[in-house]
Amino acid sequence: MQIRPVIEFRGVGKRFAGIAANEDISFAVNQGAVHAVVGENGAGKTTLMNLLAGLYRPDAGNILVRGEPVDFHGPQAAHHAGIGMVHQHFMLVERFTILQNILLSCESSYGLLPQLQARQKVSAICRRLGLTLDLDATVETLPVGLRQRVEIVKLLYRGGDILIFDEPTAVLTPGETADLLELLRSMSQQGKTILYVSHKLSEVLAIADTVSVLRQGRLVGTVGAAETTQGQLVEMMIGRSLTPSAERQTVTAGPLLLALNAVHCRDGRRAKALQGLSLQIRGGEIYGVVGVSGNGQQELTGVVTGEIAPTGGAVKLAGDNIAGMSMPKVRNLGVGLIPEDRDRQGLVGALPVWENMLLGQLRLPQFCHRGILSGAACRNYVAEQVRRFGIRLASIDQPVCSLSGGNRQKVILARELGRQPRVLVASQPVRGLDIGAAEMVHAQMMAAREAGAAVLLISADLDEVLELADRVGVLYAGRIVREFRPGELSPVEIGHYMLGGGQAVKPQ
Amino acid sequence: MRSIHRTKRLDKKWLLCLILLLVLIVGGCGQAPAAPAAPAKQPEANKLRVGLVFDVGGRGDKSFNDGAYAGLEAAKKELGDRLEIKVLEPAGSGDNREQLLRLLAQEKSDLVFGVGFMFTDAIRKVAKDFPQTKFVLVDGYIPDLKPESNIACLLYREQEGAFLVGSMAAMKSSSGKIGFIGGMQIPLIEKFEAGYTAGARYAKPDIVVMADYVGTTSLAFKDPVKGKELALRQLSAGVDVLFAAAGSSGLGALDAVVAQKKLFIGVDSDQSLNATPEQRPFILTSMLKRVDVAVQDTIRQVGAAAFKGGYREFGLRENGVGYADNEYNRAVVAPYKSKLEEIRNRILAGDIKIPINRKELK
Amino acid sequence: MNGRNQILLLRFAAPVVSVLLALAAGALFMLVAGYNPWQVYATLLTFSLGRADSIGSILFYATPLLFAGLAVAVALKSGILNIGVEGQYLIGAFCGAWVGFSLHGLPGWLHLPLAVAAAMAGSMLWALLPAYLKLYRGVHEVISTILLNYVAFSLLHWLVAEVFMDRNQQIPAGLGSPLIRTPLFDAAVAAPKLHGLLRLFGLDVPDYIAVNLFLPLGILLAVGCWFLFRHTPLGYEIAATGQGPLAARNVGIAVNRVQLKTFLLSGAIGGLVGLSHLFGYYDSFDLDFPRNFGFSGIAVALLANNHPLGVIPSALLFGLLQRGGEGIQAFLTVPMELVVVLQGIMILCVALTMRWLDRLLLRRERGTGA
Repeated sequence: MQIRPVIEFRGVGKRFAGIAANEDISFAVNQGAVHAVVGENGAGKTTLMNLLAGLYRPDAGNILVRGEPVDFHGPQAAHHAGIGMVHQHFMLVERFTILQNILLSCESSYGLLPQLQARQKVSAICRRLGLTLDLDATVETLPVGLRQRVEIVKLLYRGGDILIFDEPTAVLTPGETADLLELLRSMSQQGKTILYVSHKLSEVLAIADTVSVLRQGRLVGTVGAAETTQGQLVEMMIGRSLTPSAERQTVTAGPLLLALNAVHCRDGRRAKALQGLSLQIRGGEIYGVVGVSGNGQQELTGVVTGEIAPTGGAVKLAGDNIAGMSMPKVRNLGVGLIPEDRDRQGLVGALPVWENMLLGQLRLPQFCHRGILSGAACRNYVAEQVRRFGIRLASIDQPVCSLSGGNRQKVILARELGRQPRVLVASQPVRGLDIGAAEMVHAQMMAAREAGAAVLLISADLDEVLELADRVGVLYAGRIVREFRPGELSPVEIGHYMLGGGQAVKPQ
Repeated sequence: MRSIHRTKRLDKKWLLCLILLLVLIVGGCGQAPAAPAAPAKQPEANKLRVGLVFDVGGRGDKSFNDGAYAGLEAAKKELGDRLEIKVLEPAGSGDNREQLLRLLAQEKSDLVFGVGFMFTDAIRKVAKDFPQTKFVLVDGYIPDLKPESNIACLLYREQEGAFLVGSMAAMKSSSGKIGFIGGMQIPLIEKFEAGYTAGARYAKPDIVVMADYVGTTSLAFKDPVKGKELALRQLSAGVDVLFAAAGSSGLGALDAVVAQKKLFIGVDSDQSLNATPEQRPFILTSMLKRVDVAVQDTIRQVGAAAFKGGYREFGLRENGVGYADNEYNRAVVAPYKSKLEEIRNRILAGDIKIPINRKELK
Repeated sequence: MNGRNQILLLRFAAPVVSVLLALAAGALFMLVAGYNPWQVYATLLTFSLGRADSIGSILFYATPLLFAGLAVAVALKSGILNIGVEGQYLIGAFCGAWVGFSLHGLPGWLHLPLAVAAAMAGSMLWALLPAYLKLYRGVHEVISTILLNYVAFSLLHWLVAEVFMDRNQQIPAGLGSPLIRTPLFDAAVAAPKLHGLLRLFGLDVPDYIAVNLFLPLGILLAVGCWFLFRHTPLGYEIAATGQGPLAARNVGIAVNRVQLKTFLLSGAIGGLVGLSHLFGYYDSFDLDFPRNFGFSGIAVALLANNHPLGVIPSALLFGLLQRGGEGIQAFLTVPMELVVVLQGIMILCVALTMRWLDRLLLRRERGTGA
């Protein structure tokens, strides 16, 4: 069978307010291939995919689908051409069942008879892919990984055979990621064409047939996945080779700054979440917490920051018990937080960068005299932080939501580290960030460590924890079931503890 | 500015705007722009300029406010082109009554009506500044007026008319229960309730009268939904004749009564006349408050340069209040006519003292 | 032309464009309704802007809306939709009135401020209840304030018609009916008129227009609010609380306390809404005291996009439309219903297009920023 390109970009360009987001991009995607599009954040990947999905229209060049030039006037038109996109944020109605959500995406699927037919059709699709979905479960009860599958089935049901995935693994756990990659592979074997947008190169190399690399809106090149390496791709993406991670400074452990002793607490649904968790972190130390999500990560963050009052045990900050104190008080005692959901929990999107960077600190005497803000002092401080943390922006007055993900995270870092916290809690600090930005965030956390802070790093990314942490604790069922130093345990052993296998080994 | 035309949706919006602008321009060219009304035109000789200000949202209540308007229309029919009328309504907050009266006076109106006692202060203030213009306050009382003043107050003895329809309701009722629905609970509306209840008890001492008020703000006069709700409640309690003195809220009550095929008594205007044919069989009568007659009469006076300031009373004696007797309800009312006539005479003779509020009723 | 300049240009053009579109939409409506748009607009403008008494009226009508718009805008900044300004200002006005008619013999410089303080306190207390319910009992403020509005109306009815009604009005027995109002105010509580000041600006407003001290007070208050949001930590905490409560909490802002403060501030400002009418025009608190300022305040605030200074032109536009409505009613015999629809269309159109242009601007800023 002759392989023919199903999609072809020919000199495609797109500008926003005079700035080129895509410029002169040309490459072809083969029928039944998994074609990855990689690049740093802001390189133009998402824009290019939105052009294909009919959300935008190109200013220059052509897009050819099955050899025919197309000009989509909206996502509907793209759907009719068999193109569908799984967005980073799912487009599902939480209160509806899976089947209802799938039907919702098509017209003329109301009424009893079409519903029956639809149910059969959806079941058939699931069977073909080896998926088990309870079509009558409401979406709000589903974990993220399953919601993503609903999105996929939705596209297939509508007859999509060109599927675009925009950073699909950013929201998934390692296990879910593996399942997704498996699913993609089987879909491509069934002849679906898959466009896979990501900056996680290990995944890309594991799944893709071909990789197109974008940098600053332009195509750097398209290579076969078999003929390239991660290092080469990184060089193409950032235009230089990655500097090997900074030599780890040996820091003499400082005083004991954070100590949790047999902490118990309940979660939002009043179920037991932490069950006798204990850990100690000294100044100049990064303590990494790994574990399957939902084993008490959020509650651990909560009791340290004062968001959750523990029902038992002690939380000591440099010897003072802070359990049950209000968040503002705890914060003033020197606890900083890089929250898991940076856009909702860390930033106020519509407010300007400078306000976000000073959020919660405006009452400090250096910014405020007799209840009135000193504009110059604020701006100077923020400008200085922007420079120090290398935040790329046009003006500190622009709304923070107009920055890229990496720069948004840097704003949070600059705010939290600017207060020189004694304890820094970092929850998933580089999730969804590109390589350059993640590098920067890690460097700053190391700097905080060197400055004598106690850093509590909670992450789903095992590699990240093993690279950064001085000590690692495995969180399972609300307590630390095993502590070790990086290198002491193999990933397989760690995985064993993460799944509860270690309980008998070291009960607390 | 090319990138404004980024997506199809935006294009459509701009197109829409363009169409709107075009329509504006074309529409404007179609008719040559007339010179904006010059505020101080000389009035034509012999023209009679009459202005009337309704109360907030009053137009269309088919009772009190529309009654005043009916008088205006009747006068227009009578005087034809000689009469020039302007009808205004205040803003929703009701804070521009005085400004509207003043505008009419500034426009050299000969006669200006303020419909409702809410105009009391406004008319007092404006009349001072325009001695040439005659002002009429319907339903309100301004102290110390003389025949040579330029203000006339039209005052009604609503309780007398209500007494008559109350008697009729009691005689007509077969369940022994009749109802009253008032608009806003204020002394004016209590006069209706007191007269109605007293009249019913006079005709049938063991009658039960249910009374409800729509609300405590002037919105109570334009809330047909609430009016209907209250009416349904009373009907389900066994009421079979219902009198509503509640502005357009009464229209809701009428709906409820018609739906249950019971009897309704209208207020102020003869509500049989502007009801639908389906509603008419269920309208027993209306308690008339002949604002229309008074308005028409006053216009006539001013036309004949015979305006008299001060107070004009309208009760049974002056035929200013009464009950409606028309082609639609003549047959129903006929059996009670002689009894009603007798009651009327006793009221006129002063034999019956009619209460004017709930306190006096007890 | 580069992106930055385009954005600047759009920013200034936005209000103009939206007003033009509003005019066009209104014109379309008038054509459909059978009126000549040119004539209506010409009358509206010459009447509202061409006469000293009209200018005075606009200022007078705009004054309560200025306060109401600010009360709504301030609350909305912290994410509270205070539908209850309506009830709050009426309660406040009654409290002010109570000081006005029950105290006698005080000098004006003491009596008026006392009455104002009473009004603000009363309104604030009325706002305290929904604030408490929201922050400590989780009752949504829209529900509680709407319900409390009705409670306020009935409470006022009882207070004015039963408890404090002036029973010394001379009404002939059985004829007419007394006004449902409190006793008359002490003369000392009357708000000073603004006519002397306006004359300095060459505007000779006739005496019967009651534009008074509360207008400059309102403008000062708008500037004050602007200052609050622009130059004080509390202002920024309020904005952060409103737009990102989770983030605000995480950075150590006591979100509940900030919202309580804002709600009470909104209530206190609400207490000022009715006072320009109460002490500048009326001589007692009548049961028929002007209503709807609270609800109009929501529209004023939305039109101003919640900007405290934007509330000033927004309130003036409402005043202008009311005065213009009087003009086209009186001169062109356009019935009030159509005037109201026309006003609604224009306000809606301005609000929508402003919002739309704002979004366009934000998107472009994002484009240049990244």
